[in-house]
Amino acid sequence: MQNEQILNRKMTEEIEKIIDKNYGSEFSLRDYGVILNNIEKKVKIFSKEILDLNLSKLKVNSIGIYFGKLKANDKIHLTIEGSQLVGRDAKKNVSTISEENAFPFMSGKDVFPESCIECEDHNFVIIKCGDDIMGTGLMQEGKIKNLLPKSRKFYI
Amino acid sequence: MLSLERYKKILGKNFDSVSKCFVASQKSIRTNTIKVPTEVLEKKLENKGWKIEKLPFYVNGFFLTSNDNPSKSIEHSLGYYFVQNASSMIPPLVLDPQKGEIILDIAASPGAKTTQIAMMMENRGVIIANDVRYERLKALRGNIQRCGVLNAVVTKMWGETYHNSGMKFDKILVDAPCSATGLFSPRILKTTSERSLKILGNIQKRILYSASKMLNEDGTLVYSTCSLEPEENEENIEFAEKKLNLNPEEIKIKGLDFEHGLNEWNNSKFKTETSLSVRIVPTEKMEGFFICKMSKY
Repeated sequence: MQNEQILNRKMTEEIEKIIDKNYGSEFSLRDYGVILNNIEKKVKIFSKEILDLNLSKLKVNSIGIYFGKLKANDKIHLTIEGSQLVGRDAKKNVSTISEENAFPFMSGKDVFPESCIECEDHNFVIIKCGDDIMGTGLMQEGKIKNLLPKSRKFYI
Repeated sequence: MLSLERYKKILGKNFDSVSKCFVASQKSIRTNTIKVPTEVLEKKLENKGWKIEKLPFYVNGFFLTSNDNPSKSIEHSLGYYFVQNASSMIPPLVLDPQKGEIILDIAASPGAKTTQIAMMMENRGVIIANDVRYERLKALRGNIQRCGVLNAVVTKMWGETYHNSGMKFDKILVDAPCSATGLFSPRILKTTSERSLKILGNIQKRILYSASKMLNEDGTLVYSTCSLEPEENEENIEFAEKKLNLNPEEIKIKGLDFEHGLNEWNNSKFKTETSLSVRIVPTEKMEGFFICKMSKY
């Protein structure tokens, strides 16, 4: 919990703007509590009801879930959970992969997209496969660089 | 090592079937409805060729009847389900968490029940998930993340002294650290002794004491273990009733097959309502489990 701060409405709106700019999504963080780690630039979100509790006498290890990481040039790398929340109505930087590529992608392989919606080179893209939202990758010269964390990859 | 005679007494008429089966060899999963509706997951898994069978007592639980590895699938990685023994889905059902409540899971890792409780609360209210060991907290946090649980606070504290925090809860789950003899595995039975049961029994009583101090007046406490041992189960319920003013209540779960808690052990009768507890007999599908629901009086 060191270096972490709970963001106020104004600071949260700045992150919403970054989400909108990158993914064309009007996803609102208003319904959540938002924490920013000022060193790692990691954003976490949690249920606002937690704010009503006095946790001062507890040894808190973590709150809520990791949503994404702020990057240079107003970009944001979303986690699988972050992309599942934002990706529902994202209209930009969305890449669809084929069912044949879903397994290699979840195994950590780079894959080629089947289709793209306004995907910018060298930016993060939300990966969809059918109805599933599988996280984010980095678009590099037409190929999706795999950014899945080790803990979420499975090994064949 | 404890004798087989002991288990004949504990399991009664079920002893023969238990000793002949490979307990909990059949895997089960629970849909994580935070991320996907059960019908959608069911269809996805069937389309993959998995053979699944609904649990008779829980709409979101399935036995896997084919030989697939449920930990290695896209759906698992995306957080659509939790690999969880069917017996372990029962304590949250008994706890019956509601949206908006403040709930404590005092020995939470690796988080199967925590994530089930959060899902039943529809990510509303607060669940505090506690464990004291660093390496176990990592698994807990990982599962909370994978399941998209937003209403969880993870704490790293000793369960036995948690009440010193002054916190109060509507509901508390004490899924106590135990001998795990409900798995009826030769390795576990070999290393379990009367001495180890005594040590575990003391720890469990201390956690129960702490939990009872934090329970709201009209609150519910569910005590569970994956142990078959009366020293870890009925004896603790008797302690809770006599010393902690906790009152065992009847458990009603439609479709659940169970035995009642023992009325006596070691030739002495329990003087309290231990028979209101539920004992899940170990089978190929389910681990042996003990569950008791209690309220303050």
